[in-house]
Amino acid sequence: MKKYDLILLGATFLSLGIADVYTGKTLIIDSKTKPGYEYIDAFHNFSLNNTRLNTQKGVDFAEYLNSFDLYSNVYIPEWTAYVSKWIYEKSMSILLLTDVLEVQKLDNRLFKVIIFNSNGRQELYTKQIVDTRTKSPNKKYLNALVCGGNVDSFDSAMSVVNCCDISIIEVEIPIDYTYTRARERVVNLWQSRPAKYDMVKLAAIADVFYEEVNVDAVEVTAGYKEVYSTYYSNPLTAFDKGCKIGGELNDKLCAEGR
Amino acid sequence: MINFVQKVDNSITYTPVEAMSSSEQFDVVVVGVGTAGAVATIVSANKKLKTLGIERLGAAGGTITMSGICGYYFGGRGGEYEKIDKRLKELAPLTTQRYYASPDIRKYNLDRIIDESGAVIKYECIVTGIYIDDRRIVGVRVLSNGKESDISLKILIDATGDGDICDMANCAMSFGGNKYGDISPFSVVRTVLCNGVVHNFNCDNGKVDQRDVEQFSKELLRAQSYYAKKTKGELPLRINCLPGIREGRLLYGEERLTLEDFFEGNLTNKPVMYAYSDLDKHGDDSAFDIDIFRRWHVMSNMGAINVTVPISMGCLIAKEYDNLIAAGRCLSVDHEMQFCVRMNRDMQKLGEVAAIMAFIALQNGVALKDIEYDKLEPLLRESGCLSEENNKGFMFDSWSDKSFIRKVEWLKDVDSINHHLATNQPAVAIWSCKLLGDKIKPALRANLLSGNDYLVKHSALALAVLDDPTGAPVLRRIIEQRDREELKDMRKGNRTRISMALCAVGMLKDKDSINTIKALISDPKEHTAYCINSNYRRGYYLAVSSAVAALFDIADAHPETGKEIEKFLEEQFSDGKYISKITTADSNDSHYIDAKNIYNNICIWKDKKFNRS
Repeated sequence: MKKYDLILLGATFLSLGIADVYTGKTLIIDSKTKPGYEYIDAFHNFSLNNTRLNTQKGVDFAEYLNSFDLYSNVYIPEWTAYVSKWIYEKSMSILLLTDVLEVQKLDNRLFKVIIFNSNGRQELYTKQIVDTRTKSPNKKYLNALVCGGNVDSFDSAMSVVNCCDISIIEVEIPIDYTYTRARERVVNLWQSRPAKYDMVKLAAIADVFYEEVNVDAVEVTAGYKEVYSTYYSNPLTAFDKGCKIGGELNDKLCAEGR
Repeated sequence: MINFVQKVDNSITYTPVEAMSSSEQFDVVVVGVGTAGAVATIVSANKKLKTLGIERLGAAGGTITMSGICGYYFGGRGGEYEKIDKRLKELAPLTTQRYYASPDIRKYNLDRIIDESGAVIKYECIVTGIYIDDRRIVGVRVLSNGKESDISLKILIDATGDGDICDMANCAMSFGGNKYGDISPFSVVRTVLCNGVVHNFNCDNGKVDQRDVEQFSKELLRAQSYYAKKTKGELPLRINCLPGIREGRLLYGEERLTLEDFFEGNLTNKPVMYAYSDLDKHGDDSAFDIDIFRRWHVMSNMGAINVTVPISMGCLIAKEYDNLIAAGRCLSVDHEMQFCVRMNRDMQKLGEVAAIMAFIALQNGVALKDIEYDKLEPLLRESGCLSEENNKGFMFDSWSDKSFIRKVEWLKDVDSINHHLATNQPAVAIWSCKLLGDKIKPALRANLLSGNDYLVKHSALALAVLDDPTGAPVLRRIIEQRDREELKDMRKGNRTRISMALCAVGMLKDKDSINTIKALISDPKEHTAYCINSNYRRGYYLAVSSAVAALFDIADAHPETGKEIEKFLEEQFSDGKYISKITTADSNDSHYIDAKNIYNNICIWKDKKFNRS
C-alpha cells in the first residue's frame, strides 16, 4: 500500500511551495512533463512590482531565481530549466506523465487516489490532498511569442508585453475553444497583422492555455482542497501562498502528534 | 465473451463483461496522433473511414512538433507526408525558420489538414483500458476532461511510440537490446532565438527506461536542468514538452526484422515501404553491442553508411490480434535494426501504410494478416509511399556534402580488395571480405606477410570479421604499439585502429591478448595520448570501452580467466576515477553518463556471468 501524508495534484508553483515547506511524506503528480507549466509554458508574463513575499521559503526561492538573474529581468519562458534544477536538487517526489483517474474518500479519513501512467492503474493513499490545477476558468488565453520587433496590440482580444527581443502576445480565447480552434485564432490573428508588422514573425505558440480564475480555493471535503495556482498574479506569489499552506499543514501534522 | 483489459500495477488484468456500452463508434481509432499517428489519421479519414485520433497532448505531430525535432535526417521520400509538408510553404511568411523546421507552423498545418479530412481528434485524452473479444480489440476506454467513456472500433492503430496499447493488450514485446539492456538515449530539445532566427537544438540527455515512471520523471527534471545556463547570443523560448524518445517497446509482430536478418539478406520481397538511414546509434559504446553490429560498426568502421531496409506488412501486425496495427517506432524490429528504422520521414510513411492496411482490411472484411499484398501494393505505390527510388541499397550519403554521395559497390576481386585495404579507408574492403566469406581468407592470410603496414593490419581485421584468428598476432601488435590512427572512411564516427583491434581480439576470444589489454587499461598516461574535444576524449573512450568489452568476451570463452579479469576490472573502474580521464563534463552530460556506464556494464557482466559456468 503506497501511503503518503500529502498528495499534491499539479506540478504547479503553488504545489512546489507547499512541498518545499511541508515536512510529511509528499508526492506531486502531474500529467505534463515539466513543472510550473501553468505560467511558464503558457507564456504568461507578469510584473514583479509590488510583489510581497510573506514566507522565508518564498523569499529563498526568489533569491534562488535572482542568483541566475531571472528575478530582476523577468522573462518567463526562460524559467523551466532553473525550476527543474531546483526540484531535482531537492529530490522532491514527483510523478510526471501521470493522470489522476479518480479520488475516493474512504471511511477511515483516508483518500484513495487512482492514478494512471505507463505502469497502468495504481492506487495511492493519503490523508491530505491539495489540487492546485485550474478548474472552471473565467478567462482563457493562448499566448505566443513573436520576434523581429516590438508590437502594439491591434485586436481587442489581444494584449502585448514587450521584453528583450521578444514580444509576448496574449490572445483571449472563448472558454469552450479547443486547442485546434485556439491555434487557428492565433495564427489567423497574426496573418492579419498590419503591414508595419510584416517582419515580426511567430516564434512559438504556447502548448498550454493560460487560465485565469477568480476564486482562490474550494474545500472539496475535509482533507481535500482545491487551491488554484493561477489565481495569483505571478508564480512567486503562488509559490509563497503554497509555502503558507505547507506551514498550515505542518501545524496539522504536529497536532496529530507526528 | 468480451474482456475489459487494463494494466494494473504493471500487470495485465482481464475482467469479463457482458457487453460493451460505447458512447461513440469508429471504423479506425488511432491512439497517439504523433509522427506516424497524424499521417495515419489523415489517410484513414481521407479514405472515408470514420476515424478518431486520441492524443494525450494538446497538438498533433508528436516528436516532430511537440519535441521540436522537425528537421529531416534521411528517411525515404514520397507519400502523404510530402503533401502535408507542401502546404507548409504557404505558412512560411509567419516564421523565421525554414518553413518545414517550425514546430508551431507544423502544428497548425496538421490541425487544418486533419480538420479537412473529417477525422475527429480528442486532445488531452488517454486510453485507460481496452475491450477484447477473442482475437479482436473491439473498443477502448478513454479518459478525457476528467471522465472515462467507452468507444467502439473496428481497427486500432497503436501509434503511441512506446507501443502502449500493444503492451496493454499483452502483445509480446521487447525493450532494449544487447546483453546490458541498452536503449537509445533520449533528447530534450530547447528552442532559442539567435540572431533573429528561431532554432531548435538537441543533444543526448541520457538513457532511461521510460516505463519506470518514477525514474523517468527524475531523468526528465535532470535533463531539463541541463539547460540551466545562459548561452551568449541565445534567448530561450521553450524547452519542448515532449522528450525526444528514440526507442521504446518493440513489437514481436507477425514478422520481426532483426539486424542479423538484414545482414544475412533475409529480407522481404513484399515491402510496404523502404526505410533509409545509417545505423544511427547514438553514443560511442558500440563495443558493448551484439556481435553483428560490432563487426559492422566497430571492426569494419562502417558506421555512417546508409542502408535501405524493406519493411514487410507483418512488421506492423500484432500476431495476437486480427485488427491491431503498430505504426511508428514500436514496429516489429529489434533494438539494433531500430537504429535505422526510426527516422521522421519513415515513421510518417509507416502511419500511411497502417491506414491503407486498415482500409483494405475493412473493405475486404479480412483480418490484417490476411490482407493480400497485391491489393495493398498498388495503393502504396500510387501515393509514392512505396517507391523503388527509395530502394537505394548501401550508400555513402550526406546532408551537406553532395560530392560525398555515391552508391557503395562491394568489392569482389582480390586486387581491388587489397588496393583498398592498403589505404586508410578500408571499410568497404573489410566488409566486402565479410560478404565473400571463406574464399577470401587465403588472400588475406597471404597479405599478413606483405610488409605493407595498412595491408597487413586491415587484413588482420578482415580475418577477425570472418572469425579467423590467423591475424591475431598482428592485432595484438596494433594494441601494443598503440596504433591510434583514426580511419578516414566515414563522414562521422570513424573508429581508431586500436579500438577496432581491441574489439577484434575480443571477438576472437584471444586469451593471449589479456595482458596486452590489461596494460592499456592500467596505463595511467594512456589517456593523455588522445586529444580532448569539447571536454571529451573520444579516442580514449573508444579504446577503453573496446578493451573492457574484449575482456568480457575472453573471460566468457575462457572461464578460468574469469576471476582474474573480474578482480582487475573492479580495481581499475570501481572508484570512478577513470571517468575524468574520458571526460571533464559534469554528471548531467551524455559523455559522462556513457563513461559511467562502463562500470555499470562491468557490474551487469559480473552479475549475469552470461555463458560462464
